[in-house]
Amino acid sequence: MKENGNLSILVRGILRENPVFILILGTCPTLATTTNVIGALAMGLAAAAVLICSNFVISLLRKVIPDMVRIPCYIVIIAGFVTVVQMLMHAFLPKLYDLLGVYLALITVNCIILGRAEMFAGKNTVGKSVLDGAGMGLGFTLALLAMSTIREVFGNGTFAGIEIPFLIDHKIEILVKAPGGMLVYGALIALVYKLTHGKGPRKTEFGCSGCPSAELCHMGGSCGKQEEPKEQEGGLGNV
Amino acid sequence: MKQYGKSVIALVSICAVIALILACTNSITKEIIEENEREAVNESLLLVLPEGSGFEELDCSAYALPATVTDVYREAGGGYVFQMTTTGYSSGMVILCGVSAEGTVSGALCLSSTETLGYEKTYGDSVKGATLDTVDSVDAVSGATKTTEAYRNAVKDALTAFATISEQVGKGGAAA
Repeated sequence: MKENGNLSILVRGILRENPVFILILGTCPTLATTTNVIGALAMGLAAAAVLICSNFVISLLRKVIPDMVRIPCYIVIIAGFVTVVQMLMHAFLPKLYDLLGVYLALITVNCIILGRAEMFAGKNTVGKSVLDGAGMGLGFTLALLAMSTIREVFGNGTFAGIEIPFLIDHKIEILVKAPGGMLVYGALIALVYKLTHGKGPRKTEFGCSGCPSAELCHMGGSCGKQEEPKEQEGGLGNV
Repeated sequence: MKQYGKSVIALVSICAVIALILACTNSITKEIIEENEREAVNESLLLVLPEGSGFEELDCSAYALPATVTDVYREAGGGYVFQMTTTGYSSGMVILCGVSAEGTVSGALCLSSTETLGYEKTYGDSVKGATLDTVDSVDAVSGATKTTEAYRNAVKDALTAFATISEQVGKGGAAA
């Protein structure tokens, strides 16, 4: 991956390396909280706030945190920020807190945040890490917003709770249910892939250093290549 | 060994700093959260007992109440609101039932449940106006019999609890 300027670090999270549609991270909250626009926006902003703060602190402490305990340290920092956001939202935005429910606490295990900590903040300067967090957070929020708009407008006939004439009487209700979420998600991934002409980052561009299984793996960087089908050994046939 | 020591110190220090930040945030937000929760409870109480005012929580253990009753609130005009936790099709159905000073159900509301059909959300209207004598004649909903029967029994428990408390208060037996 080329070393980029500050602006491109900020911008690439929006489309070229969109965490939801290109990197396919954070799928659980994406499917769960996009049934309405308000919930999706709140989730996106909460995750973005945690992402920016955790990237800042992890980047600041990257030379102090020993490699051996880096994952537990990252998790403690991320969980700390998530709990702070949770407490603040519970106190000052109780309606949104109720709307997001358990998914707010689950930001702790959102792959986008740990993924960016491991792949970017642990190796780059504070300024770049904050920009990366802001870009990825913005990309996550916009992805949730796009998906929730389609699901709420066509599935529920409303936008942010405001009824839309005609559509309110012609709802496609499957869109606000789990299968509809998967359909919209798949369609948007295809659209973004078309828009980026399939030029998203390839698996091999990440290298082995960003892989949590690097120490145990014996593939030597060949995991991105297609494996040739092996001939079956033994006489069991199709079991 | 030195490497292990360094790792332990780093992890413990990070945990300590995060704990400190959480403690500070908690001290700021704790009272606001408690106030919000009190307001939310009051709003729910007013939904089932609209004419109620000045609600105060009573100690359930002071009375011999049905096992489903978990919380009791008394309002200034003599009405009560009971919170019951019961089991319909699945466990954990929480029902709030308001009983007016005359002993009739002023409203009932399902606060949370894991029932599958959703009848528990609307069944409250069916039991409105029921008394301890008439509550058994409220029909269950076909296709959601377990849910609605459990709901009706919970409301009956609320009316029984109302009768028990009224009797004891009348005798001056239990301190309110």
